[in-house]
Amino acid sequence: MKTKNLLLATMLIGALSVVSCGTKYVATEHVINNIDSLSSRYYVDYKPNVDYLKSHPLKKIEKDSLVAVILKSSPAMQKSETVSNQFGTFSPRPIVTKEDSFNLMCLCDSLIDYRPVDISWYYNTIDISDQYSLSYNLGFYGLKEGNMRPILNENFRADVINKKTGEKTQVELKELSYGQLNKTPLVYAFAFWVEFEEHRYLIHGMHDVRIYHDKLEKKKAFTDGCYMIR
Amino acid sequence: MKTKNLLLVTMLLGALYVVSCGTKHAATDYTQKLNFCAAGGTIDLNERYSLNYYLNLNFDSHKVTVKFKDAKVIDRQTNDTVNVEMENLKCALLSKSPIIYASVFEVSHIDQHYILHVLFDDRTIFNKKKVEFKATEKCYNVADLDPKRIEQYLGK
Repeated sequence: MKTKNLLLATMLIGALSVVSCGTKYVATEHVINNIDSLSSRYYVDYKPNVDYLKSHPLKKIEKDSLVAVILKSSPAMQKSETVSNQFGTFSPRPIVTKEDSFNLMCLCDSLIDYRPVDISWYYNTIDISDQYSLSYNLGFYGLKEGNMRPILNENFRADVINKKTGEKTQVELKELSYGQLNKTPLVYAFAFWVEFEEHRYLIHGMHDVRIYHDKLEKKKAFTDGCYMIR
Repeated sequence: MKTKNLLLVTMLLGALYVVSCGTKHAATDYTQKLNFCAAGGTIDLNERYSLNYYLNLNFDSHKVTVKFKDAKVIDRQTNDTVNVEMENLKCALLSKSPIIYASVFEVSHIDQHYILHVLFDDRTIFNKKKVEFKATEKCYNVADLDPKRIEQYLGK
C-alpha cells in the first residue's frame, strides 16, 4: 500500500514537473479547466510550486474528509471561494503534500462531472515557413453548455513572427470554424486561415485537456497543422 | 436560388474532395448524399504498431452521427492485425462547406492507452508544399508515466 501511495505521489510529482516545464500554454482559466477535467488516468495540470512540494511535511488527510486541494501558486483558484464535490462544499486549502496527491486525484475525479468548464484559451506557435512562425491566441466561451463561441476581444489574435528578427506582424484570422467534441474532459477543434506575403496558410488545432500527459512528448503536446493553400 | 445552387455545388465539390482523398486517407464509400462522409487513415501508435481506423459519418442537421466505425492495430513487423474498440468516440462538425470535422477517440492496446485526434478539412488538398490529402491527426500515449521519466523529472 505504501509503495502504491509512493508511486502515485511520484507519478504526480512527475506529472507536475512535466506540466511546469511547458511554457507554451499559459492562461489563468486553464487552472480551473484542468482540475475539472482530470480523471484517475490523468494528472492535474496547473503551475505547481515544486519547492513547496518538496519542503512541506507530509500530512495525512482521510479519504472521507476530502477537501479541495489547491495550490497557493494558482491565482485563478484563489479567486474561487469554495469548491464543491459530491462530499459537499469546501473552502480552498493551499496544500498539496505527497500523501495528498492521492486525495487530489480522487477530488478531481469527483469534480469531473460537477464543474464543466465555460472558458478556455488556446495559445500556440506553429511554423508556417522556414522564415516565419505564426503565434495565435484564441479564446472560447459557452463550453459549459456545449454552445461554443469565440471571445472576440483584443487577446483573440494572430501574429506572424519573423524567426530571425523576432519582428511581429498581426494578421487577421479568417473563416474561423470551430466545434466542441466534448464537455468534460474538454475537447474542441478549430480551423482558420491567415494571409501573409501573398500566401494563405490554413491552420488546424485541437484542444484536449488530457493530452498534456503524453509520456512520449517531452513538452506540451498540441494537435496542430499548417497547410499552405495559396 | 442561384446562391443555393452554388452552395450545393460547393458542398458537392467539398464532398468529392473528402471522398477522393488520396493515398493515406483512402475513402472507400461514396454516395450521392452530401451529408455523408466515409474516411479513415493510418496513424502510428509507436515504433512497432500502427492504428488503421475507418469512420462513416452522417452530417444531417449539423449534428454528426456515427454510422459505422472500425479500428485495428497493425503490427508492422509481422503484419498481424488486432481489432480494437474505438472508445469514447466523439465527433463535431466544424463546417459543412468546406467540410471540416474533428473526431477524438481512445484505443487500448497491450497495456497502453492512446488518445487519437483527427481533424479533417477538405481544403488541405490545396496544400502547396506536399501533394497529399492529409488530415491533421495525432496520437497521444496517455498510459501511466514511464518510471524512467519520473526519475528524470525528480532529478535522479
